[in-house]
Amino acid sequence: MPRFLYNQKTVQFLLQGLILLGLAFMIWGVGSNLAENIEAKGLQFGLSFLFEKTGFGISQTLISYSEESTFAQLYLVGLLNTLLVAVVGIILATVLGLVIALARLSANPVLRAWAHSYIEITRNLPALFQILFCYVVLLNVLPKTNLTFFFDSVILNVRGLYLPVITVGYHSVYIILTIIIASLLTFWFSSYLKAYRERTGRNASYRYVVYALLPVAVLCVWAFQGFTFSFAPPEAGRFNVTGGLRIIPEFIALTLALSIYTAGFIAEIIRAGLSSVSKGQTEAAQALGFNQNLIYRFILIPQALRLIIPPLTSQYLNITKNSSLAIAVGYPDLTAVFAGTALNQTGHTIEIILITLLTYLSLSLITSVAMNIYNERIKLVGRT
Amino acid sequence: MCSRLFFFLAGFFMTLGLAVLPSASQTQQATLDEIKKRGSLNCGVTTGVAGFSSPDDAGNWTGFDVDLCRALAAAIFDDPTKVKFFPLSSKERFQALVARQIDVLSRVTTWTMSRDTELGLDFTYIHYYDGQGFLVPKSLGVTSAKELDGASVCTQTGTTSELNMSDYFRKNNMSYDPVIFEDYKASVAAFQAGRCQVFTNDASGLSAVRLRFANPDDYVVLPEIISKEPLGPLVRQNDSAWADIVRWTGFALINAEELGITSSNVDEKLKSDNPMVKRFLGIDSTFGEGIGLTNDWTVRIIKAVGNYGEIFKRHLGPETPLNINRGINKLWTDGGLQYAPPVR
Amino acid sequence: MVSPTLTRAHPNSFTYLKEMLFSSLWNSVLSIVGLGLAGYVIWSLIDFMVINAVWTGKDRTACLGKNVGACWPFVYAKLYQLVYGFYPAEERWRVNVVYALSTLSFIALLIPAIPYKKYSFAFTFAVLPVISGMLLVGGVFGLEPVSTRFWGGLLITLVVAMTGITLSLPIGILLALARSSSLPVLKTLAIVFIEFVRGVPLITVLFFAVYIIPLFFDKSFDMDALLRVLIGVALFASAYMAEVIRGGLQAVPEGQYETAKALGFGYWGTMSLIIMPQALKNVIPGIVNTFIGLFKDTTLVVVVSIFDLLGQLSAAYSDPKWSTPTTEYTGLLFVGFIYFFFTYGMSRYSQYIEKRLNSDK
Repeated sequence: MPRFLYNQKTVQFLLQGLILLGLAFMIWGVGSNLAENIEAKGLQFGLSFLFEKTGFGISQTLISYSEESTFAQLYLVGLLNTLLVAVVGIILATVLGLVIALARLSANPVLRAWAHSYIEITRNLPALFQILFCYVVLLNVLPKTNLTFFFDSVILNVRGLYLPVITVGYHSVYIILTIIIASLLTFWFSSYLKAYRERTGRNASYRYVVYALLPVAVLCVWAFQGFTFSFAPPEAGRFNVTGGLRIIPEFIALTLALSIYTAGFIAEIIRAGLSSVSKGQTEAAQALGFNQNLIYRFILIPQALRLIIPPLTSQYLNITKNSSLAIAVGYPDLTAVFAGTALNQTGHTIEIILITLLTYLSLSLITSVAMNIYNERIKLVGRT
Repeated sequence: MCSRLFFFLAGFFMTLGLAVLPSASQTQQATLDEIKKRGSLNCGVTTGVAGFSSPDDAGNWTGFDVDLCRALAAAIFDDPTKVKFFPLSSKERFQALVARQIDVLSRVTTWTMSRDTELGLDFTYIHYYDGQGFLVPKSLGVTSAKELDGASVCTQTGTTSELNMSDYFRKNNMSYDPVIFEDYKASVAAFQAGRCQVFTNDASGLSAVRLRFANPDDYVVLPEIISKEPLGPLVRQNDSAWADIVRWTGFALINAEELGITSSNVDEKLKSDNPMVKRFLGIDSTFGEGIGLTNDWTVRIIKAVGNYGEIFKRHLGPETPLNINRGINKLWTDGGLQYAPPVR
Repeated sequence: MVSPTLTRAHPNSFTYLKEMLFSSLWNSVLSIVGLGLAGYVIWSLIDFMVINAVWTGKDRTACLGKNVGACWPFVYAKLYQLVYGFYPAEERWRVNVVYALSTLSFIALLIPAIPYKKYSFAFTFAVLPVISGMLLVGGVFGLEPVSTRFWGGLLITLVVAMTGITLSLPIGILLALARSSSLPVLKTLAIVFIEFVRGVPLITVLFFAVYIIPLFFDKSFDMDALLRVLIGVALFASAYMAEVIRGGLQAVPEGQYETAKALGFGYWGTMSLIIMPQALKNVIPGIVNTFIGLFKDTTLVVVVSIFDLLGQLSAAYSDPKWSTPTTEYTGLLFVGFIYFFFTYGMSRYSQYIEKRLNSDK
């Protein structure tokens, strides 16, 4: 062997080069085949199809959409539907998971047994199985003819749950925006108040003003719109209920099943987090005269959170990713309408699958980054 | 130090690269020779559409589309059982043919320009003239599709039905609530559960779906036909010799009906003096050998499966549970559209 | 809160129960409602599955009527489809042989008391896949070839799960090694692959495998539909496995690497003889959890028209011959038990091993 091959650095350098060369070779092979196959299909590779009309309808759209809309709008509809399942699913799963974790830790053996069976059953059955099961049960249980509640303002049948639309002001959006902005301000002020209290040891005298911010702001905005208020209940039409806010059974089945499935995992994560805090901490707090609530609030939860957050993040991501199982029950999420229907109708396989993959990847990365920032923050709090 | 790992990985990528290298496609054996060598015909069918292709409890395939494959097997091997059936979903059907897994796709497939020109496949002839329709429960009290404004409609993705339906509703200024499933069976189940009030598909498929229900009489197919759906078998493009065999087997079924030759009278007809019949049955013609078969190929076909009318009657006609009217699938001599070029 | 370990030593079981269940009004209410509900659920299940169930019959008529429970003849009629798919009846013995061989080799591998682990490991991960492949696919030794189109039901579930399990471990180890390596090119490639795959749903990976991978090859080259799915599943599981193994690698103390180096071990020697055995042992529960996840994920193949156990079931209960109000529930219950049997078995085994390893320490 020539002498330079005994130099470890050189060898490593050469071999990495070799790997890159191999990779480039592979990409070249794949690329030329791809080009040839696309050409054979007679399709123009590119994203211009996104601005063509779709020509088909979607059963649940959060933004306005019709057959005249473009594939780009269809993509947005799908993405928003995915996010809706993810957000509602995450909230439901967290609440359910917390309840089950507490039941699992309770002193009552009956509760513990219930929580334990719940966890074992939901975690050991496939998510798709649970979704199909929920859907089959829903379609069998929901009434075929309209069932009305609350003086005909809520209608339930196998095609959905129809809720009345309550509009506050000319348009609820203004009130909702006010609530969001006022909440943010309240949150910001109260953290300022907390810092003030920690710095000076006194409560600021004007602290009640801060808590009045939200109701006053909402009232002001509403008053500006003349306290208008409208109530639009759904109405039974010839075939379907018209008007009102409709929640389709596919959404209910998918979100419910995903929440039930994930809650089992979340319960175990929370339980592991809470039991990881050493018993001495609880006993010391009891000795100091803390009651159960205070122990949870100031001793257990802050310490457990540090262990809970990272695996909890991955469960939240799992809900988002598992929402793609929508395709099995016909819920129009991103995968079903874009990677399913749009792909079938346009034939732009590569573009559509790449866009779908990148979308999920971005969702995952954004969630991870956000949760990492949050995790950093509670770490710092823990040290002081 | 780490060198072996590197060599391994480098080798791995290189091999992958080699595997995906564009290779010159080698010349393929003629399809007919391949089938003869294999000893059986590979035929692509549906995963189960009553009347067209469905397996019975013992796993034997029967149906209108199935009988075309049986006719081909009879023409080639003089044995209609020498067929292997490949159940295919609507998405994978074309790929299976392109990839030579099957020799012929006889699977309720609509002949459209894009499919004919862009998929590397060729349609051979029209086996069945179909059109898209609507199935509704009688309890809905609807007699025309024009009354369906605001209804929930179930169908599945990846078919022409979805777009036809949307066009039809828009053209008539009606709104609808689409319920789209990936899987045909899922959309049927949802329709049965009342999730949607209307099920749309090819009219023949609707009759098949109706049959699946516990009480088919509670459902009705609406009279409107909203699209043209000529269904026919496909073969690979640039495979003219094999395409000729499939096409003329189909035509033989229609010509036999026109000439009045049935599975029961074919032996008598062999003694016929009618020059057209004699030519058709290969008594004084060599058309069979011309396409790589035997001269009595039509006799074999008719003996095995009967003529077009017999096949229709056996699988789809009024005496079957499907109860489909011949309609435009009558012979041209009876005012229908079925018209086969002459054997001469 | 009363710690259960303290009270378990209570002398009188009656006082123990009383204290646990009825220590306060709130607690008593919870106990009574919980017990009552449990009784109701268990009774309804028994009622559905045994007392009101239909056991014999030829078609749906047997299962119609008032208050009819599970329709077991449906499961019986569809049993072959659920277990073998459309695998030709006269060739089913091949599937049975594969089932039997796999069971035996896993018993040999998993029960600690049985010796020769090295051989059973080699058999399960190297010999068994080859034999099973040859038996199931056919075309060798005079076996009739059986196209994967005819495979289905439990056979598909197990083939997909086993392929994922056998391939994800070695690929996962290589990926984990690459990701912890000090070489930038290797490390970057591994990170990109792992994070990409872990960031997207399995369904989209399957779509990629089914629709895009064939476009990478010359069009004359046809890749089997099941094979494409298997590649997708193996890649997906490998990325998750790599992260589990990397966790194990990180837990091995630095001193172990240094000692190995000092003793003159090369990279592969250090890794295969010293580091990997410790790393893998540390993360056995994580590995088994990945396997359980993979087993549950096999249900997703139905999205790309491959009919696994769950897919075959939904095909079976849409059969009009068996359409009754309880057919769907019966089928789901039956299939649910099968899934539960496998996943619960795996998770119990992982707990058992974990306990054993902890007692070793």
